[in-house]
Amino acid sequence: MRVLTRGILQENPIFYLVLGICSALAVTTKLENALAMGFAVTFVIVISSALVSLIRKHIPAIIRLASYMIVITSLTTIIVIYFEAFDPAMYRTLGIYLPLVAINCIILGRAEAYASRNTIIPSVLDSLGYAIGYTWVISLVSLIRQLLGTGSITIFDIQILTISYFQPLDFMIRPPGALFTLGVLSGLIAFLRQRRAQSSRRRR
Amino acid sequence: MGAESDKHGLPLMTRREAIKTVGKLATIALIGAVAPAIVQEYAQEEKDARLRDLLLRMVPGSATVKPVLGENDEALYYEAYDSSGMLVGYVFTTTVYGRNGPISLVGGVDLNYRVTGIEILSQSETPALGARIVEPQFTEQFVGLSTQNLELTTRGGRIHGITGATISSTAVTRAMREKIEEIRKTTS
Repeated sequence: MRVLTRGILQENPIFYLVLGICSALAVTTKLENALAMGFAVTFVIVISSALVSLIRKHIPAIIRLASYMIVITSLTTIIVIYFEAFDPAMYRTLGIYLPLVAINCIILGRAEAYASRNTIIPSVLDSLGYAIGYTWVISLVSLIRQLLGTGSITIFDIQILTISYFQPLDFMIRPPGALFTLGVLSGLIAFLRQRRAQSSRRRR
Repeated sequence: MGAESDKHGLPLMTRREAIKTVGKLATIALIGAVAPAIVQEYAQEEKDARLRDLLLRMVPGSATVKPVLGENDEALYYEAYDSSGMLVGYVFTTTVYGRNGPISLVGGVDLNYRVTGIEILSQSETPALGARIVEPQFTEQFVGLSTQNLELTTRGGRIHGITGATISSTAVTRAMREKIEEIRKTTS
């Protein structure tokens, strides 16, 4: 169970490992974009980790990385085809960042660091944990950006929340807003992490 | 497997081991190439179904569309039939050059060659200007018009172009007018 939760909080891929940042910045303008991206990443990372774990004993060392890349890229291609056919609007919105899931460091990172050395169930749980960790962070970033950048939050075009008398900060939905939000959040998380480490040290 | 390296740092292995290794990589590559191709087959079905639904939406009351093929087996336009098999209109896709690149759209007319539907499929016009051709405020204007009115108001027609986006507006209007005329000539 710890295998699963590790990637969600303690070793969160974006805040702690600082991986997968570029898509975190690019697609977080609306909540549903972040969720779609999270879905794509989850699909690729879980299945690739499962496959890597299954074949790990049969891959000679020299072709290890090449094999992992083939698996990951093939899965990414599949999800791209899926999006193009079944959700063309989201496919156009995500644009180039959907195929770029193939080079998302989180995916190859977990395949290399964990799935290649563990059995299938822990590998699946591990990758799922990191996928959840990635998804909740980009969802949070997109909520903040959308709220501060447009004054309201919409889920599938249904308005959930609106702040009146609020002049939207336009830069929030542009790239600087993404860097800003992620930076502030990272700082906040690091601060909380440090405080927790200090207080647990004091208790001992 | 041996853990020795040659002078380049590459592992030493027997010819047999090398062939097995290459074979494994080739197998993975093969599967990796075939799997997306299989998914593409299913995706294609979905895309075709989506296109069909779109074409049907262009002429209200239509239930099936039948392509009218040209010399190279491409669909020039489609005949739209209702559920009892009667011809109710024509549907078409066409592409025209806008300001920044091709604009592709789909449209439909009834048997009097009046527009019954139009939708922009793809475009790369200027955002907030030419890109507004996709908005209903612009496309709604086309419905009910016959080709003699398919012109911008500045040229005597009934289409109000988008302010600041004359090229894009003209392109779409011209595309509709010319394609409908083409169909009229073929079917009259």
